[in-house]
Amino acid sequence: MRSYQQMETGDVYEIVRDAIHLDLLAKQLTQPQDGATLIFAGVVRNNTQGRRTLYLEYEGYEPMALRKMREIGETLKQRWAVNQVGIVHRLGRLEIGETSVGIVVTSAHRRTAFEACHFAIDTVKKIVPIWKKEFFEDGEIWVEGDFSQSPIL
Amino acid sequence: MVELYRNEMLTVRDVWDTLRAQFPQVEGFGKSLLFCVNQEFADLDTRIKEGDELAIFPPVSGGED
Repeated sequence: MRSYQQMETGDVYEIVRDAIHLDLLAKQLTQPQDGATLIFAGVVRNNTQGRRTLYLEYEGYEPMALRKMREIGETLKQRWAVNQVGIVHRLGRLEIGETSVGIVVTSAHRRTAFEACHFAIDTVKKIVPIWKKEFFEDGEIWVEGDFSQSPIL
Repeated sequence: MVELYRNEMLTVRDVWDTLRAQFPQVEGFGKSLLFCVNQEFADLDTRIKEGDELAIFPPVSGGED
């Protein structure tokens, strides 16, 4: 299995087209001073408001998406006492139950890691230019995000 | 592709207006579009110069709920 590319700061920001291995990412990011490694997996759900989903396709404006993922990580490290951050988003066709986005936050204490990780996933959904197309038995739609949310950190 | 030749400062609005005139179908996206210049969020009044990268897209929907 491959390893994730860590930046000089040790953090990981990647866009991938194959499975996200959160166990591997968590292991790579966790250091002796950490007391908590928070792992979030966003997974493909089998329905949207009761309508059965067959699979999803994700597309992104990749250079900007990576840049925004890095920006979120930097914000996390400024606002919370987190040690390492990993954000990996997958593009392409994803089946039900597969991980579309993975976030790992490590910290000395759990509360910090929970808060930072919560902010990270909410912000990914707001400012990272990635879109999903949902395929149903009887059609397909591009899912449009919420415009009322400001795309500024 | 749209081409604009101006002497004065160009803004995102100038490009957007030109695009709308040339490709009326983009009007359907209405007011919910986001504008980015050089991969940073911008607005219609943001100035652009030769070589800048302008991106126009709908609200993002990556991640998972």
